[in-house]
Amino acid sequence: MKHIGKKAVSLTLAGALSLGLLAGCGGTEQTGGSGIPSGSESPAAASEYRVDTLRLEGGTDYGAPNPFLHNSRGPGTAKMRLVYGSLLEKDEEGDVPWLAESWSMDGNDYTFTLFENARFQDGEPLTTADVAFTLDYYQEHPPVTNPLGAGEGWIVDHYTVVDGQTITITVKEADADTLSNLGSFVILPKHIWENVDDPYTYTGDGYLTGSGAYSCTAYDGAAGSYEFTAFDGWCNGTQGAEKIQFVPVSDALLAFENGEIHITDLPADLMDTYLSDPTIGVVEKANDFGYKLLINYEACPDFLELPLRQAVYAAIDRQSVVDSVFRGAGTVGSAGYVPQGSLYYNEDVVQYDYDPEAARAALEGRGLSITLLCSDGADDLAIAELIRNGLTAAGVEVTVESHDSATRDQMVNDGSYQFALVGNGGWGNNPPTYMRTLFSDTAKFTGTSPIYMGAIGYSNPEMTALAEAQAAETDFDARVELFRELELLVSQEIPIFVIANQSTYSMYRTDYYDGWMKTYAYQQAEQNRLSYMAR
Amino acid sequence: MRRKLLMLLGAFLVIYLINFTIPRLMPGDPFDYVSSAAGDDGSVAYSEEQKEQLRAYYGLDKPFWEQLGDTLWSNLRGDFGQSIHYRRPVGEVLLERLPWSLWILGASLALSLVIGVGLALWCVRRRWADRVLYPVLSALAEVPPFLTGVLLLFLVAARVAWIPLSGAYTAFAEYGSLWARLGDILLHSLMPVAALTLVTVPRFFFTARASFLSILEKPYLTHARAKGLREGRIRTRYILRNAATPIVARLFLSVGGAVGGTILVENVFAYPGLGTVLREAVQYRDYPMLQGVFLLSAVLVLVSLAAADLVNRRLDGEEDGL
Repeated sequence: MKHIGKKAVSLTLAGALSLGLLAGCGGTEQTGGSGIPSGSESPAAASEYRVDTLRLEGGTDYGAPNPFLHNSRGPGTAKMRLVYGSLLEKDEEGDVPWLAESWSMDGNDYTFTLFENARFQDGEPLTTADVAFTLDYYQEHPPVTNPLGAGEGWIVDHYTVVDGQTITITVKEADADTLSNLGSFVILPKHIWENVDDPYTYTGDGYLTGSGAYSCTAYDGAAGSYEFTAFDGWCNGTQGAEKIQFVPVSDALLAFENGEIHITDLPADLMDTYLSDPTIGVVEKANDFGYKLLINYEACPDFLELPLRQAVYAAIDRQSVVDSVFRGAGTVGSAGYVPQGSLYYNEDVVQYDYDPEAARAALEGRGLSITLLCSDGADDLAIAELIRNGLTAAGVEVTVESHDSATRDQMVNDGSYQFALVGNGGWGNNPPTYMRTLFSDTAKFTGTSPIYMGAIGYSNPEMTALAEAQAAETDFDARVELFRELELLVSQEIPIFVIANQSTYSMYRTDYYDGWMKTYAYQQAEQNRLSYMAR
Repeated sequence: MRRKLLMLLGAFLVIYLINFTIPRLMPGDPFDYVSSAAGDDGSVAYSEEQKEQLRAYYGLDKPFWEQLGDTLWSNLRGDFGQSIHYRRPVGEVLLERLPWSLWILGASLALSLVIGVGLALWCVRRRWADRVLYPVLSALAEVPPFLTGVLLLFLVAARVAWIPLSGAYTAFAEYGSLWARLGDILLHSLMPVAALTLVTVPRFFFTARASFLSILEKPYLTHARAKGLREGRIRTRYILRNAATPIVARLFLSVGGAVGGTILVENVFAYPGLGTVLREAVQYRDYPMLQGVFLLSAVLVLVSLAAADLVNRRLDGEEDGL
């Protein structure tokens, strides 16, 4: 017993070290097990592809890249969509073939014809039986990214399998977004999933066997690393890289400098430094991020008066948000909601200049007092402070209440706010997909999403009619016309205030790989499938 | 001892209940958080129908007590639930991450112990060294672990090509041997372990220093020196051995603080331990994962406390027997 104290200490320390080292060894195993298609890829010579390997920032576990297990953030969806194919894809101009080589529309009927040589990554042919199965399966088990709706919102009425290559999907009510929605759900292999009762926990054989251009050849959730390998049985074109790897980095800029990754965000402050290098290329996500100010009109009925809303715009120095918070990378928000640079932007929308005198004339003496809800992010707080300064100078008493983003989102969804500042990306995406839920009294979201929900307590029949009409209009030019009318009306009535839009940039080395692109509906080059295709 | 165990069990039950309750009392909802900050990635916005389906799937549509009962029953069967954010079993994610955290936690504690006690021993009869080290380590003790992590990242790792900036091993590396693999793992843990060690060393230094100083006054030391024993022998056999009790207690008591430091440092170095999991679980209100991480941390700390108590008793018994 004399030496038990020493022994206990030694054993404890030795045990901890051994456990750690053993654990370290075990942890380097690539997870995924039998689900990763081992025999599916037989990479052709690297010369077939433009580059051997594209490396991007990883380090975050976005879930296993299948339709039920990826997490709901953009990079999770993007990784899943590398592995799983949908009927259509989007390029810079519009919809293009992906697994379907052609399509047609007739009323509520949408007919798709698959590529004859389409197949899954385990070599099994991909037919309309798989498309039909996927529709049935998604109705019962909605995937994470779900363009088809759920429950009462399920958009498909029925489908008709014409033959092994052609299927007609009939929707309950066609609108301008129906083709995009039907074209973007990803196809599951029936032979794997038909026996799976709970796809949200399934990680057995074939759980990563996809229908896309790349197969997942390594997934390590702990390290946040992913490897995708070009699927040599892909039916529609050639991939741009033999492998795509997402590797953990602690500082993306350092990693880019060291050549560890091939594309990364370019901070606005460093633009001059990097853009002077001729080998650096940039993809601009123009005005893709934006801040808006929501008013809960039920809590603040005074602001149902249009002159007061106009005075709110006049009180806020929105250019200083662009200059000081965005470091000049962005624009003052359009009162018509759609950001400048969008195909749908109406340049005739009403412009509201910073005019503190006019704001004071309208607001001072009204005894107005509001609470401004915002998140506790640095930019959010800085913008909230600028709003507070402007409104306070105009005679409105403002209290800023900040919470973490998740709390702020729930409070907005619950309508527990007077004024709320909300920031989100995706403003450069396809505006028609979000304008209806923001401005139509019959379709606007309330209580489901702070970034797509309409103004609580505000109603406008004319705005509703335009928002509904543009959504139903399938003729592109006619839709744009309606859409611009809607923007003009929104800018005149301003139920929601757009503070400013921020542009962000991705930079890459042009002498290595320059295939990065943005689609007409999505500006994140790193998340677009076509960025990884030889075009 | 039995009373101690009962107290630990009671503490565990209270912690379990708090772990279950606190995440659900937090404002925010796992399916509502869709906004983002500039540069962050947006999220899929669920429809109300889909949210209802998801809440039902994860059992979040049930009353509080029913959820507690279900969770307790599942936990007793070894099932820690399904992570809402990672969409994998919580137990699987924790088992995957825990070894990495234990490794940097254990390594940094061991190094801190050796360095802290070694420095204290070295300073025992060198007043000038004590005068230099005391203020330096006092200042270091107040530096938050994540700050030492960030400083090491930018001042050391970013400037030295062979030191990895992040991760626990080289992604997609093909190792020629087990030693190459171990070397890679050790190299990747260098900065996180160094960051944690830097802020933990002072704790051991001050504990050991105080203990040594109290022993220096003891008559048996004077007696030992009078007998002409060598200084090295006096330090190891007399000073170090008799000061062991508070140092060992400090080792186990440091586990709680070190767990907190590990969580922060892991986030700085994108180290794949429990820290990154906890950060994301809080951010996305992943209730089952939050419960899992907190429960594991609580068990780790409680076991350390029990171990500290046990070792102290045995060492005390050993001293009594001398």
